[in-house]
Amino acid sequence: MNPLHESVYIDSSTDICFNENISLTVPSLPAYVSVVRLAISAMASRCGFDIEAIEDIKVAVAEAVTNAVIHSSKQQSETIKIDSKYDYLKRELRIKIEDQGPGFDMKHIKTPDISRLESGGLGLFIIRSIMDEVKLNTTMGQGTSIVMVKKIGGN
Amino acid sequence: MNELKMIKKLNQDAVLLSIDGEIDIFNIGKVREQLVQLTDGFKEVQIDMKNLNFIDSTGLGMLIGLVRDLKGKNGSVVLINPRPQVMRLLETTGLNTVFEVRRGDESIA
Repeated sequence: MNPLHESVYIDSSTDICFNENISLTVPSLPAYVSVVRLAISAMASRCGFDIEAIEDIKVAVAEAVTNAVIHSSKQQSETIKIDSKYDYLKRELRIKIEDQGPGFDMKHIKTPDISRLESGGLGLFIIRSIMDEVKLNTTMGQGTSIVMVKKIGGN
Repeated sequence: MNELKMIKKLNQDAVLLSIDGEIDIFNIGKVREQLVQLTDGFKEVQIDMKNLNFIDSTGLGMLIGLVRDLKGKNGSVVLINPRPQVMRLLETTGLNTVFEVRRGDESIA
């Protein structure tokens, strides 16, 4: 078996405060984007999001993991860490995606000008459009993390 | 799995393709290569999307690139019967103003 097939780690738990957590660590490779996308959308379905919100979560997770893969430092051992937590009291799903890439200067983030047929920055633009809260943190040389929140009955 | 294929040549300038399954960073290289081959020589490209379940920004970027190429030839891209989740993404990004979107039986010229 390809050793990469063994390198997806899934840890899930439900605590007494009615929170539900899933943690995943996957190789920073294109083949694993769909693994994360499907795992988190299945969790969203369990937590009671409607079909439209599940699709939004699926798209946002795919875009965030894709960005992490694209901006990775292309080292074989590099991984992406995903922590997803549903809070039953707040009725919100909080997803944190962290990479070990080189980071970047946030001044370089583009807003795509669709009317001029520019597609640069489309992934982050989509995430910001469909999630209720988005926080991006990046430090040169230390990787990037994005925290995205989707609320039941939100955006 | 996904499949991009030619359904038929509509006339000298127009072609109807269909795309099924999912487009993401994993298969975008192959899909882009197929799209270049299948659209070569045509000004109008119609793409039947009724069986496309998922598309990400890399796939949308590919379609934006196709529009850009065809606009230079006075051509266009027509997306036919996108599923609700794909349509929502087109609307969210404003791409529904860049592509012509057709629904129902009006699809095929």
